[in-house]
Amino acid sequence: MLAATLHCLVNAMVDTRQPDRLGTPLEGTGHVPWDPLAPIAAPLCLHQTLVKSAWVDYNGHMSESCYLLVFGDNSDAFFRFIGIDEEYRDSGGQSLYTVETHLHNLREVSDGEPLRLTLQLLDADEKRLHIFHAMYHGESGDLLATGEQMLVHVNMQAGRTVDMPADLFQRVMAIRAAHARLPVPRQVGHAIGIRRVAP
Amino acid sequence: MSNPVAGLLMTWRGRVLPEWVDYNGHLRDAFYMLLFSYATDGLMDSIGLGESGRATTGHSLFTLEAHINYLKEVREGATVEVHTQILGCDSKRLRIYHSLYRSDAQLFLAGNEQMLVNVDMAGPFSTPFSPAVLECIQVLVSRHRSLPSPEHAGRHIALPGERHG
Repeated sequence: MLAATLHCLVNAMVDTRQPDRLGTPLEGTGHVPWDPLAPIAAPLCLHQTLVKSAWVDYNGHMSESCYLLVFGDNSDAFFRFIGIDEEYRDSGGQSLYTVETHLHNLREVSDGEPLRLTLQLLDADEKRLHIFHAMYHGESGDLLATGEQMLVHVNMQAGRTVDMPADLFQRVMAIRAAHARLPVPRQVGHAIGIRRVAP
Repeated sequence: MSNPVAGLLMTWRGRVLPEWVDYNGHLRDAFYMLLFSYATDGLMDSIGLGESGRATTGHSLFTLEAHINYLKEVREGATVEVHTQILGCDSKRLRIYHSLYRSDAQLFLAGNEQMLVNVDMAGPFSTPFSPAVLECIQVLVSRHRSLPSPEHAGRHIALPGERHG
């Protein structure tokens, strides 16, 4: 698939300090209050959207970098679910950074089609989260793409990893427990390889 | 210091645009992938699958799988370049590695391994490379064969000790 010459600009939220910057759909909305008694969905279903015209290439299909953009929006919804928002970043100087991503592109999707995202927490420790995004077609239910990511909790000023605060880590472990019974998706832990190499 | 990109193919060079950065002024993870997609376009140009090659053959490349390692933050306005190594191929698939560097310092910022498949756009369905394209690929394969394998190629994601299945 070719990268379209586009910058995913349409429908961007405008930041007055950085007017050209593209926000996420939930930017500025704060975090979701955590209810320790509420059942945790397995997997989490926190984000759905329509394919925007700015995301498609000359063939009318969503460009590959925009799959990752949508997974990023799904991560943002997850962050707000566990309590990480602008206030958390600004006052504590801490955030989650992506250090590694593995994408599988399974089916193409076109302008205007509905997307439904799920998120599974595969594993976690005090500093790291191993997550799995699945992107489904909102009507047919077809699996379109998956994104596996390793996130690390960092002190942004010091530029190094730090343990999550206890309350955040507790929520993460509650989700981990709720997701422990889910089957491991077949795309997880895959390394890219080719069986035969041309002479 | 030896030149880390010697022998590789430069497939993209440009500046990090304001619309690609986050609230911190750093390149967002999805836009690393955009730069790597541009680099795949650059590679396609150099193996005969640019605009005219696609029109002649009716073929294009589809990314089946991509693995990204983010090593350094990239600031808005930085000039960066992508250097590409062909790791392997068969009759219709191509395994490549894109390395993103800061232009001024040869600083390694991120790596991206991709598995690409040649598709007949009339389907679309996968199909062998046209002979002319395969010849271009094989020239690159033989040129890149003696280069060291990139440090992060062939990785899978896991926490230390993590096991599934």
